[in-house]
Amino acid sequence: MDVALAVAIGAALLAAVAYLVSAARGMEPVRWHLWVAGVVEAMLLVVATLVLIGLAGGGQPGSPAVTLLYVVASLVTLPLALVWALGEPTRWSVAVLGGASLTVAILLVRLGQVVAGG
Amino acid sequence: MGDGTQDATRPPSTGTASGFGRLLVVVYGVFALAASARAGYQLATEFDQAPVAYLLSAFAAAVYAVATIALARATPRSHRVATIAVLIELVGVLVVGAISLAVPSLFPEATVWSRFGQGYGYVPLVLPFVGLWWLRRHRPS
Repeated sequence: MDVALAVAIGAALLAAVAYLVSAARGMEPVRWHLWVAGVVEAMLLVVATLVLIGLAGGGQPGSPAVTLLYVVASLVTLPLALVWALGEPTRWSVAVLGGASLTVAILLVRLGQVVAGG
Repeated sequence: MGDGTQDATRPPSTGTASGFGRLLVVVYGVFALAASARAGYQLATEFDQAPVAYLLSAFAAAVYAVATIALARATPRSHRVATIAVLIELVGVLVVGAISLAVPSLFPEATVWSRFGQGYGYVPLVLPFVGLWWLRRHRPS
């Protein structure tokens, strides 16, 4: 799970940089912006699956309720941001995706701490 | 989907939920949800340990939630509501931030506003100023 989590955090951060650079250059949302969100979301599903398997197996020091809360939050952030962002497609929708990706990265870091009992 | 460049012919958008406001609503929304989840969990599981801090977390969550919805609705009335919520937020982060530094024993558990929002990268300190600036720029005529 640690490897998957680290990869997902890296991907979310890369996505955030890509979105924020796009927004800074004045880009409106284009096709690859959606693909990036899709790839990150797929990684989040892998992380969520591994975390749930770990929870079901027991033996994790972290609180299951808080862990689940972070898993759900990490999964819904990008889809909600996409809906909100595409409601008005301007450079700011791309910035919204950047903010959402950054939020996902922070949620994943916290998820790792919670699973470890922090 | 656009072609990747700004459409110069589109009329400039107005309202607190347009343009940069789109991003601002997201940041407020993230804080509303984060503070709500934190307050809900704390109140449900460990209320006795630090009731002042936890009730304050819940209050902060409510203020962020009202600000988020009011900014997103972008009507003349919601502009007033958003302004009041953001002002309360500003006073909250300044007062709680100062008290948490001066009398740390009052806040044994951190809230979103403790130490001027240090635990959240000081975003809670910056956010109300950005919010007020944005609301001023978009006063309903």
